[in-house]
Amino acid sequence: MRFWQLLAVSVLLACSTYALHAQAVGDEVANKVFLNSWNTPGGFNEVTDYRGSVLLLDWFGTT
Amino acid sequence: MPRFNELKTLYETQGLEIVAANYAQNDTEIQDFITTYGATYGMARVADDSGYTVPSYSTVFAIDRQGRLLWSGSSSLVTNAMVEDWLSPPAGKDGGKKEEGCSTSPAPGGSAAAAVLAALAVLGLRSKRIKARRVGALRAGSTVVGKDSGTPGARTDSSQGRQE
Repeated sequence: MRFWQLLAVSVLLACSTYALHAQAVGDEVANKVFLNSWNTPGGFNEVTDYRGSVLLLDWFGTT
Repeated sequence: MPRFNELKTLYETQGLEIVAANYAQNDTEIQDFITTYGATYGMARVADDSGYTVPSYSTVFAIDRQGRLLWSGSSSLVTNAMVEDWLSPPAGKDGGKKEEGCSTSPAPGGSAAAAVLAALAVLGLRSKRIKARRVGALRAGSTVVGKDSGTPGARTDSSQGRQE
């Protein structure tokens, strides 16, 4: 019984934390400044520079 | 990723931009990645991913021309039709927000709500089982009580007791 209670509390905490940090469709996204960039249009140094275009911002890792 | 190269080639003239952001690798590693995979789309090194919920790599955030979130999810789920929908002129009067249903991602809170409901369902099943056990225990207990109350079962039990 205790296991299930702990599991339920953990799930609820995780969900609420996720919901607090999740972005909703239609919300303005957070800006990110590029410390370095490659293959980007000249003068584009942050996410907000892409206003006017549809941007696919992909978070990736090479490992 | 070849997929992003393809999308860039197909839709760049319609206003699509692609930037792969990374905060975990250094410039040399990112440069090696570009060389290895022949990436022609944008790459950027950033300080962190704060402000974005990134459950796993690679997660894409589709952002409209006004800087608002259209969709987020695994890059493997992005289809040409989705990109074409995002690039299409806005249908609403508010100058860009898509009609409900055009965006392909539910609000992230929906997943959390589903998880909460699942947890509640598990707890509900658990409590039903506990209740069933209690009812079973009470019934068993009444039989035991019946030994002293003169029920037919009690008579049987007591007679067996005498035989023993």
